Amino acid sequence: MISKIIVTIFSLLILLGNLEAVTLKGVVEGGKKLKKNQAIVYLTGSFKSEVKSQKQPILDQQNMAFKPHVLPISIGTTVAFLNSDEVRHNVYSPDKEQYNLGSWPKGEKKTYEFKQKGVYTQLCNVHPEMESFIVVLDSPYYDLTDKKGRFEIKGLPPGNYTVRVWHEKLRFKKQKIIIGKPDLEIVINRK
Amino acid sequence: MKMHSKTTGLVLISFVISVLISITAAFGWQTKKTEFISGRVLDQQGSPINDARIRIQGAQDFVLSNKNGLFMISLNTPNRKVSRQYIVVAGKESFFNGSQVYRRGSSDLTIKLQRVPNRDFKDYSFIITSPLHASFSPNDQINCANCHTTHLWEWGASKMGKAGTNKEVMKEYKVFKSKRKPYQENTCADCHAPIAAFNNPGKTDFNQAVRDNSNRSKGIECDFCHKIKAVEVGNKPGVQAIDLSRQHFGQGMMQWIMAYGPYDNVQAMPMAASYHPLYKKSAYCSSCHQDAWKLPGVEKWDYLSVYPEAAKQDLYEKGRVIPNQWTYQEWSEWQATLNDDHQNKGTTCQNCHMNWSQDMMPYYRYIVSGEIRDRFGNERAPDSITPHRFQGATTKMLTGVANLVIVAEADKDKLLVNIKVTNVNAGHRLPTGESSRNLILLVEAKDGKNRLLKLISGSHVPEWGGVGNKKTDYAQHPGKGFARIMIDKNGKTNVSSWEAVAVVSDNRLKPKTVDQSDFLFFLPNNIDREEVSVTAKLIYRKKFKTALIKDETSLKEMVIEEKTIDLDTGGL
Repeated sequence: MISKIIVTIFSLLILLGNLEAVTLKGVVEGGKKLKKNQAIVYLTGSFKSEVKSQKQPILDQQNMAFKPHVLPISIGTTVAFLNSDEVRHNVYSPDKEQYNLGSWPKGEKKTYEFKQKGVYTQLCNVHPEMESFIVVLDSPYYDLTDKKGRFEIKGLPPGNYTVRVWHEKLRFKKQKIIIGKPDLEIVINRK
Repeated sequence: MKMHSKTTGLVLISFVISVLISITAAFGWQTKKTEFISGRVLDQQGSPINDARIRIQGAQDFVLSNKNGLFMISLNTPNRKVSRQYIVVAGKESFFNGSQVYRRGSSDLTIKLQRVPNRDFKDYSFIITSPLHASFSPNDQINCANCHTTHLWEWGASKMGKAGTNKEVMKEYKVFKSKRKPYQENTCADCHAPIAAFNNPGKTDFNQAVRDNSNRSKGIECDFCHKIKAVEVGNKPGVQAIDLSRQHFGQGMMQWIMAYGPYDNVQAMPMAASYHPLYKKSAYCSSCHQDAWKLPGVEKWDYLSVYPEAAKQDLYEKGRVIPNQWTYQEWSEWQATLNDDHQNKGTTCQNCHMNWSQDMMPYYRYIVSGEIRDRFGNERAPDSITPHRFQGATTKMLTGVANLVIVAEADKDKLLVNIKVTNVNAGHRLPTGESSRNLILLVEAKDGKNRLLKLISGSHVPEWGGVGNKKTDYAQHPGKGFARIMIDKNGKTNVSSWEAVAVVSDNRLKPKTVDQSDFLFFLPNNIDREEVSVTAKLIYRKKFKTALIKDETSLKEMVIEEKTIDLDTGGL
């Protein structure tokens, strides 16, 4: 009897262990525009909204461009804004919290903490063509697509989620998924 | 034990000695004599020149001479390259820049500056710089592109380089020429072909000016712009607001090209450069980007009904003029609203329109090119170089110029949408320039099957957005238009400024201002709220889409901003 109970608990632990380690893989199909600029795949649902632990992310400016072009972060994250360029740059965003970090020369750094979710367009008021996006999510589960549109989100606890995609130009269908068995693979199409 | 204490003693002594050496070294470094270059700036008669700008050629920092013409430049400034000798250059408005070589350890310098003769020769033959003249051959007249090749490429591709060949301008001129009233001056060439128009302002035929071989120019030439001595800010168009200094420096074989510019530290044969602060000011651009058309006789229009703030000034000349190019004034009004410590205070036209862009990378560090650069070039920080691309209403410049914020909410069978449009990055109205330039806001609400929701209340795009069934006919779509609307004497709207007798409305966005509008859509109960989305789009056009528009490409339509939000997430 005791051995039966031990075996059951052991099997349950293995199962739970598996469930805790569920990985969502997939591909976003968006053609050339998706190759050029990455999309963010993120999950919304009734999980605990823990902040994804990550090092202080960096948004640099080099050769008249923001790098990276798209930066997903969780609410509460502080981003470091650098200037590795030969000319002075400015950083401001007209969205949501509407900040302007001023202008500064090569080598100096500014920081900003994002407290509200949303898409923050990053602009430089002396070089109008410069544009990038910091996407602040209230979800700890997200990934940037690679050049083939593939993504991978690890460590998903079991539950019901909606998979959504953000892209600066394209729109995608959202998908409802249930995480209950190991490893799920999905395909996300355009609207 | 004894051995041990001996070793400890030795270690202690070495430590004390090394500490002493370090202190001595540090002390020696701290008391190292600061090295200066000192000298005087004098005019040709030997009188001191005060407030001359003196710097080591190419350096970012400079000093000003005092009332006795004296100056001192520290050589211990961080980032200063150590050299056996330095070229020290001085510049002051209305003098040619001058220089002296300083060898380390030598005595004080005397830099003599020659005054730019206060004269203007009407028969001066301008240097024409076109791609055809870019290569140097002994038979060719020397021209700016021989040394400034990179600037030629930028300028050649710009609106300045094509001012005389722009097809849209030629078309407009054809109409203007056929309908021009006797009291109206013929001013197109005053800006678009200034070399030809300068000696005959307000009377030069633009077509003739472009065909004229003695002009040979396809645009607004380097030599013309860099001979501008003064600009009168006001409503006079182009050359009528400009004072030139058409002359060479020196005579015969020693004849140099006189050129004004923003650098106080350029001295390079065959160019005789003269520092002129005007070249970094917006007032310089006002010559062609601020002008008005006179109305006949005592005719007036009610300018205060459209521009109540104009009561403070008399730019509309009590209603006797119709604004044409008004960009300088728009910028000037905005600047006047900013506090001195505002970070946009003092931002000039040149800061944005003569700046670097990604496709110019890598940065060039010399304002001269090729062999000239290798032999005589002077390295500069890219921040002190002003590329001559003159970007205007292009996709690059219009990226991020405006911002859209959409807020949508479902209330029973209605969808409430609020749209905010902000001019976030233009230092003048958006759109600006010609009156025909316009901005259209399009708003769409859709269900999950991409079916449009019906508008219950809210504004529509006006007729000039295009009436009809084509995709680009936006009139009557939910949205609105931003433009300066003028009427002619018959009450016809959307006319050119030269045809107009009044401005009837102007809702173009001032810098940093927000336009807000509400739209109410019908949201049937059987539509899944989670699938509803709202899209707002800003479309920039160079012309109104009136019945006269046959060729749609002339609209030069650009989507400058687009946003979509899902009702269930509000944007993400």
